[in-house]
Amino acid sequence: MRYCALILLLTLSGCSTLPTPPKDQQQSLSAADTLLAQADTKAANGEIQQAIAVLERAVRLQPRNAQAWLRLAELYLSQGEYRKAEQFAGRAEQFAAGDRTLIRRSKIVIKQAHEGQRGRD
Amino acid sequence: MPKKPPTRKKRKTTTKRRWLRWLLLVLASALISLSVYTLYLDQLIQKKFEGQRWSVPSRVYARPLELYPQRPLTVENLRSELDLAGYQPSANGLEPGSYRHNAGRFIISTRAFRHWDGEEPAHSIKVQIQSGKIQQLSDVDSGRALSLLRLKPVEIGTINPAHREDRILVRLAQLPAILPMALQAIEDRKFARHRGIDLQGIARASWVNLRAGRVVQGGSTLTQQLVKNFFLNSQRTFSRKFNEAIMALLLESRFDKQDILEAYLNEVYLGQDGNRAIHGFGLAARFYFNKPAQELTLAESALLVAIVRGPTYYDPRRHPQRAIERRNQVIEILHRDGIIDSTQTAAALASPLSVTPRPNRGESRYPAFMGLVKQQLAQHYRDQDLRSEGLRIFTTLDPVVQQITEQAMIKQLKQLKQRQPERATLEAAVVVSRLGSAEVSAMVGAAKPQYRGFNRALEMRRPVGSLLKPAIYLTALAQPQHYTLASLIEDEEINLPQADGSIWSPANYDHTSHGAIPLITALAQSYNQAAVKLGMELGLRSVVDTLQQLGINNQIPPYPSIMLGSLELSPLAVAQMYQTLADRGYYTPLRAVREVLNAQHQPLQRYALETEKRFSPAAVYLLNEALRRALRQGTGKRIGAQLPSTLSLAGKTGTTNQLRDSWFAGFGSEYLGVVWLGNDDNLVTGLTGASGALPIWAALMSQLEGNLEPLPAPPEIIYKVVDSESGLLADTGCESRFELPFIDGSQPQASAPCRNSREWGMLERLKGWFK
Repeated sequence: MRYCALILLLTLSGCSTLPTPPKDQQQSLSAADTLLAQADTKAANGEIQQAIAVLERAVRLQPRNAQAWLRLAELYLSQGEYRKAEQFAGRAEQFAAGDRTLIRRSKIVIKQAHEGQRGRD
Repeated sequence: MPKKPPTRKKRKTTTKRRWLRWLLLVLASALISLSVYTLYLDQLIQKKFEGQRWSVPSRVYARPLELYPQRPLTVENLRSELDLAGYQPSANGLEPGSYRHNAGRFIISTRAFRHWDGEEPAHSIKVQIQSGKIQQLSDVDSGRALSLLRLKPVEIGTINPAHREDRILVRLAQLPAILPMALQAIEDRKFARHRGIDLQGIARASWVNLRAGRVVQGGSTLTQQLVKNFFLNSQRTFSRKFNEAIMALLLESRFDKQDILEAYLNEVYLGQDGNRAIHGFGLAARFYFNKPAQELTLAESALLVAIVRGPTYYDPRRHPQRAIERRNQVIEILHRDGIIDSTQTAAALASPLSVTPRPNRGESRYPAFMGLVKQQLAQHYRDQDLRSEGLRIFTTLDPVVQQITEQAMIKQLKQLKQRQPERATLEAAVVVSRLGSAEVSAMVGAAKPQYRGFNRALEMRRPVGSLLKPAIYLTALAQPQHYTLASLIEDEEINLPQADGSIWSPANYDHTSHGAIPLITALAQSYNQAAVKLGMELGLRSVVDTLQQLGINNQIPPYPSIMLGSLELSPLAVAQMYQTLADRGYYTPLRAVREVLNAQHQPLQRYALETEKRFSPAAVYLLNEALRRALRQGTGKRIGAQLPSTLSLAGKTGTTNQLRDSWFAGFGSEYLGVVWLGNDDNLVTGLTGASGALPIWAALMSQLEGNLEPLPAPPEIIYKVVDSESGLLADTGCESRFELPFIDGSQPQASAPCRNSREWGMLERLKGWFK
């Protein structure tokens, strides 16, 4: 069940990010994007804790990187850590700077986190 | 019948036999005890040699410097980072651990390093810095652009075992081959062939010593020396020599030569740094040359081998002449034995000692920050384990930020002390953290930052004065239906009966009351009476609750005087409180440690980022707007107005009774800083928050903050122009008006009667004429 949620999330996150740039442009990936991509790979391999560490590194480089906060929220959601998922999604929303897709995704995580928490009570 | 007494002869033989029996018995028991003893020694050796051989101190690292295109970084900051990390300037910058710099273009050959999340391989990189930013980052060999890499972090200290032995364990294979060869050539030529003791060597040494009448030569093998250091005390007694010999033989029979040699290389004592003993070639390379042992040159290896015989006598820093002479002897022996050729010999003999001028202090150059690290680790680790398990602790310290902080503080203290010599005892504490990740970047705990005693940033508790006021105003602003920045607050005489029957009547700093003023002005000007009035209106309990939500874990006594900052907090606690404001209502625990690896470089623990929404971001946005004006137009104006307008800064002064403590706490877009100045004995400093602490904070922030755009306002924020007298919407007739943010829906609905009031005022005057 947990894995299904994870796969779903990864697909979702795949949709809203830019397609992989062609080879010759890959070098111009920004530092934060490089880390986001790394985190995705780790998460896909089931290395969740490692993926979280990589995303925190991205947050350190760019504390206002809403994508990084959102991915953290999504990973926590996939782990059933609903309280954390909700809080990190809140930070993502805070830094979304009008990015509608991002705000929508943050709200989805918050809603799912609430549902998860309720399911537990 | 009585037995016949034995004859004399018979008696003699019986005695002889009895003696013989006794002798045999004694011999047998001696043999048995010797075997038992040997078995015991054997056990001892095996236990120690196969188990964890040494208590290894934990090593503490700064944050690794992250390099990526567009990162703000100055040439000076990169250079100081490289110097701190022990990179050596060189002609081409291509040897590992070296760099070349020319007009913003760097070539750096990094060292491989195992970070928490994986290995960062060694590479040679090209970094181009222009106008305070990394413009280009590429790999020298492939020429490819790099998007991100980390340098090996600077080691900032160790947590030492109780016996103060420090070492960095090295594998034999990691060392330059010349080092073990030189060691054998000098200390034990027959090491490869003997079985633990070298009888010929002992005979030769005895002969030499006998002729000299004193001990001039040792006949001990490396194995014996190791046994001596490892298991025995240093007394020169026969029994010790006896034990040493047996144990050396046992050790050789149990373990192979390589193992013994490796143990020796890690065990040997090679110098002293204060009360820290330097053991092993791994640490000696760091201690004398500030580089890993892998990178030792021939001459450097020869010097370390030369020191083995007498680390104090041949101390290359204290007695360079002696050290170089002995080193050259070593080099010549290597040449004589055919280990190195004439060219190598000549080059090595000609090279200078090249030891670093000052030992890289083990305990730490950053005692205040290390105190915080230990405090955070104490929650999960026993002190004993920190001192012996060889943990690798990755912290958040930014050595460059720390340097800027120390310099800003030292400069201001010097000026203050020059102006008034009686301020000679003025003390200080500073905490700097990053927004978002809430990582502590720098910490200073004393006017002399390297002072190892009382850590004021962490252990001191002082009344915070007006630093507390934001908690009152945030309590109000969190109720937008009742309070806005434009709400009028009464700044007037206030008398509060105390529990003991007395009356508390707080006064303003300028000893005047200002009447009804907008909330934002009351906070920006830090009026005491308005703050207490508002606080009492809100209820002490809800103000205390806000303080706790902001992250103050201390017990807060419910006295009205806490609202004017009688509450005593450490600078770190103040930083935690303001961090929640800086992060717009999200409480994020301050952290000094990121990760811990065990001695085998395996991840042990990670301190994950935590965050929790404690206040509405919109309410905090309003409060921060007031703190921005407090800095630029209010109590911080004298300095605040001069700060570059491109920086989005906010903060609050704090001054305590009769000018005893001078505080400033505030933040920009990237960093938060808290500064305290005061006297340990609580004597008057004559400084306000604005005249003492603020200049340090301002110097710090103007160096740390890049020109990051201010974070946009939350979506529910709208701006309205308001009349500053009535707090109502202003029309063109209002003389004093300002634009204020409001949470949408909470803005005043009525317009100020500015035009009318002027006419009304005229009427009043006219009336006056007719009186």
